[in-house]
Amino acid sequence: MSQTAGAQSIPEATVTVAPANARPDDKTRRYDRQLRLWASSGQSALESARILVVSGGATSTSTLKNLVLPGIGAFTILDHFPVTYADAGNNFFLHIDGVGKNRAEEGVKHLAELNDSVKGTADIRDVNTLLDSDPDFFTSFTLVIAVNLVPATEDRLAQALRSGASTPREMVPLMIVRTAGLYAMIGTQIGEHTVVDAHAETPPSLRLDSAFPALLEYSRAVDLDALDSTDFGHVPWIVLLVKTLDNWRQTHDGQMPKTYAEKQELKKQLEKMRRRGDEENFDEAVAQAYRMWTPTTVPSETRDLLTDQSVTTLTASSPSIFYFLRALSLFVNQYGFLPLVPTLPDMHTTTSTYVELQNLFRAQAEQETLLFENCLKTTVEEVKGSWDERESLGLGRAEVKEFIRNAAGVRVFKGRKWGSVQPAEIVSALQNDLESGMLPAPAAVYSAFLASADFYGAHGRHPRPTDADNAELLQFATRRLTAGGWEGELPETVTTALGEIARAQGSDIPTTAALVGGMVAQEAIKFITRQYVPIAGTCMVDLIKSTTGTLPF
Amino acid sequence: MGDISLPTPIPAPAWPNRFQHVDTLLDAPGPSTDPEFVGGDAVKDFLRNHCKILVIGAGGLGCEILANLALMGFADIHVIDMDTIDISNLNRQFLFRPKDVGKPKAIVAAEFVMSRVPGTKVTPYFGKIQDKDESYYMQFNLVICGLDSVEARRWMNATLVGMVDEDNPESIKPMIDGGTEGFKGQARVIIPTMSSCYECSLDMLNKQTVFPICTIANTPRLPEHCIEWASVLEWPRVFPDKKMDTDDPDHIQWLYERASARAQEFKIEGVTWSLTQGVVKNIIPAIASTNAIIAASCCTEAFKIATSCAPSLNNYFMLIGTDGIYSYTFQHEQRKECPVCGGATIDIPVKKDWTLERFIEALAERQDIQAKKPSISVGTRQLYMQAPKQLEAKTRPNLEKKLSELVEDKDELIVTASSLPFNLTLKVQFKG
Repeated sequence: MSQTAGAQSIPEATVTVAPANARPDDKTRRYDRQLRLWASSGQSALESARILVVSGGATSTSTLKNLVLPGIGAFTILDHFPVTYADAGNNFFLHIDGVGKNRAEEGVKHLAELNDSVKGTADIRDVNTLLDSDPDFFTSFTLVIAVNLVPATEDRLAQALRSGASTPREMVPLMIVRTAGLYAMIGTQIGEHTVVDAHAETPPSLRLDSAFPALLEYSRAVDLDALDSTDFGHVPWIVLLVKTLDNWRQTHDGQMPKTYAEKQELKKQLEKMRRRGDEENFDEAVAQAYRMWTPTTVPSETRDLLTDQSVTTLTASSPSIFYFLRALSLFVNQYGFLPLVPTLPDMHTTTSTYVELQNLFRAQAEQETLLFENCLKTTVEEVKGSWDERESLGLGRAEVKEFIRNAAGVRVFKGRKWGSVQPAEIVSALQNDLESGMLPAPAAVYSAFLASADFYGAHGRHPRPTDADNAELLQFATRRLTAGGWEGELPETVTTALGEIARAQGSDIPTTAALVGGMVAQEAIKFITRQYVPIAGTCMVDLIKSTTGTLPF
Repeated sequence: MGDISLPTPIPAPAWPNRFQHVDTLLDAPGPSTDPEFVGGDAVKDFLRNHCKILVIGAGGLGCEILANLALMGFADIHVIDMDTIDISNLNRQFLFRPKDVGKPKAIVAAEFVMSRVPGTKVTPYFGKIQDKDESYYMQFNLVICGLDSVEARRWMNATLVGMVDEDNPESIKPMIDGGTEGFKGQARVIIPTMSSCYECSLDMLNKQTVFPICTIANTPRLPEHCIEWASVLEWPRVFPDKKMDTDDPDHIQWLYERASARAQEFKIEGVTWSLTQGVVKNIIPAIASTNAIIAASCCTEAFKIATSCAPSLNNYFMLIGTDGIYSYTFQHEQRKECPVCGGATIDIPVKKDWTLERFIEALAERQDIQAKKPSISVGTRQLYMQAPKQLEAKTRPNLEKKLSELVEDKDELIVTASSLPFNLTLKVQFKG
């Protein structure tokens, strides 16, 4: 698909982006705004990704647009239908001149021109024929996105991806998308997905409730009374908090403040140390006072992860991230917290004091990195036999530091089989929506999509806004929900959603397609880069109420 | 504009079933549709032949908005943008190609949309929103903003609110505003004077980090402090007569080298080329997918307002894509003391020992005011004037005086600034 290289053209995808301290090349300049989100590691993951989109309608091309622009490696559109006038009317990546030609080819033509370094392929075979003849075709991709397929075909595709994987870890993730008028549904089938960097917004713990020895010693050595007013106003808030807590514990048999009253008393002691009342460093310390009594813990999500079977039972073929997690569980068992991340927030103080403090944190982090490496060594020796292999296993010093920096943001998701949602789960979600009484009502819209699929299965067409079709939709929805334990008439949220889905007649509205295409692309980027946290469950989009809601299944 | 010729619309071809999908929403009402909605030809005729819509910005959001509006059937679209295309736009602004770098965004975008969707008329204006007056804005039924600056939004919002004539419902122009940052974004519907306006919600914006000058000059701790030192203090010192151009890589290179040297001197780590550029240009990460979501949300609402086919957003949609797909839809309340749509004066607490200069810093920092480089007067007495030069020089000595020496408690200060599209009245409340 590469076109002739012009003066401004972008180097091929194999060229790595320029390092952050060099003047950027054209490619880095082009991708600058996204590299600030997922860095060169995320970018190279994108550039190795091969994405299949099944069907070439408006939602499909809208999704692909958002993946071609940031520079995925390659994409394929699988679609055997010709472009109709209606297709050219709702799809920005088709043109009226292409009516009658193949929809995959026309879509690829207009998408590929967005980015010369992305390879686009049109496959004009019928998805169902291909599922019969060559199911391995589907497992050769990094990610498969199925858009507005017949439900039976969705099921077959999901089955092919499950059968094609020997373990959940190897299963190609599948995103299943349906749109109807102002409604849409985004579902997934994943085996196991690991997030290596969640980009959590909570800064790493400074562990001020149990200051490490060098920090405690440093803080004790600061004699506040001996300081002139300038120096006094520049004692960092971290030191003020460590001192205050230390003084408290020395007069309380080494105990931490526990009750609300004790915590307030501790805060008062901090305030009492002020000289003038408006010192900026004290303002900061008071705002951060809660850190004195907030115990440093291992986040519950991390704790759960460390006892997961994928971590407790390593095999020789486990990816490096599981070696790190296993080592982390040894570390946590021994020390009770995560290895220190030496990122200091800015604070009111002098340059030299700040640098001193930063050096203290760095030295401590360095020590803990060594302790962590011991745990890693033990792990490697248990499973592999030799620590000498660490570099080749992706467990080198640089990777260790990277892991420690992101440790609190590592997540492992286990997905479930597509089509395994039980009626009782839907009823329970519906009851939750009704009880909360708030927007949105995702379970109602979900029920409408199921009823619409049942209708399609029975008639081979989408429901229309007629009394007969509405009545039949209501029957399908009632049947499903009754099977899940629903008693009596269906709630208004469901009947409204059924009415809207009949009105929609399976239409792919350009704005709905664009919005869903954006959401699917965001999730695809998260799956591919293993950065940020992807959806766990099914997202229902309701553009009548201008809401989205995620169901847990 | 000289050699730039305006693109012309391509006549609508014979196009049966062009709106087959969209028509499902216009032919029949749904259960949530307003009972006054009459589906069919009249609403289609209004949308496709009469409705005039203005798009502000042809950048990340603007490109998406224009494409969506054309496909939804808005036939008379206008777009304003003052920028030209940069290579860093190409990762998301999908109407532009490498060959377009340097050309005006509004014109290239208009041309592209008209060629891809024949029959659509897009009228570009390559210039500033401030070039146009009320009579221009009055011709539109709706305005969608896809802007990246707070100042431009405040101006547009204040202009549309100011246009409202209670006796003329046509003077109320719904403004739909979108914004994104990384995986996050928001879309909102503003019905001037009837719902919360942009100014009402100014305090919801993420607080922009402002580094105090004394930190930058004397006690740098972060790499950002060193970069600010290079751009705010060193550049004007070394090049008193040359304006810094953050788009010029040679200028960034110079700042990067100066900042690196200073960082080394103070043993601060982390100054990079990329960070230097990010800090001096205040770069906000941006990706195609988030822009697609927010632009589509804006256009869905524009379509719903123009056709009444479904109730419109009331009035704020917030998206957070960093952790699953999470969004929150809520009604943002009008702020009684909003200087644009409320009109009351704002009480402002002032510490007694604050100098006028410190007070001016506080005006920039306060989230609900954000007045940069303000001029301040009380009654007819000028406390500090940014311009003209003579007046600035004459009022400059006041900067070092305490505000409590210049005005009385409860005095009302009039604040004007180029970032404020209106005069702000503040009532001083001296504290401790």
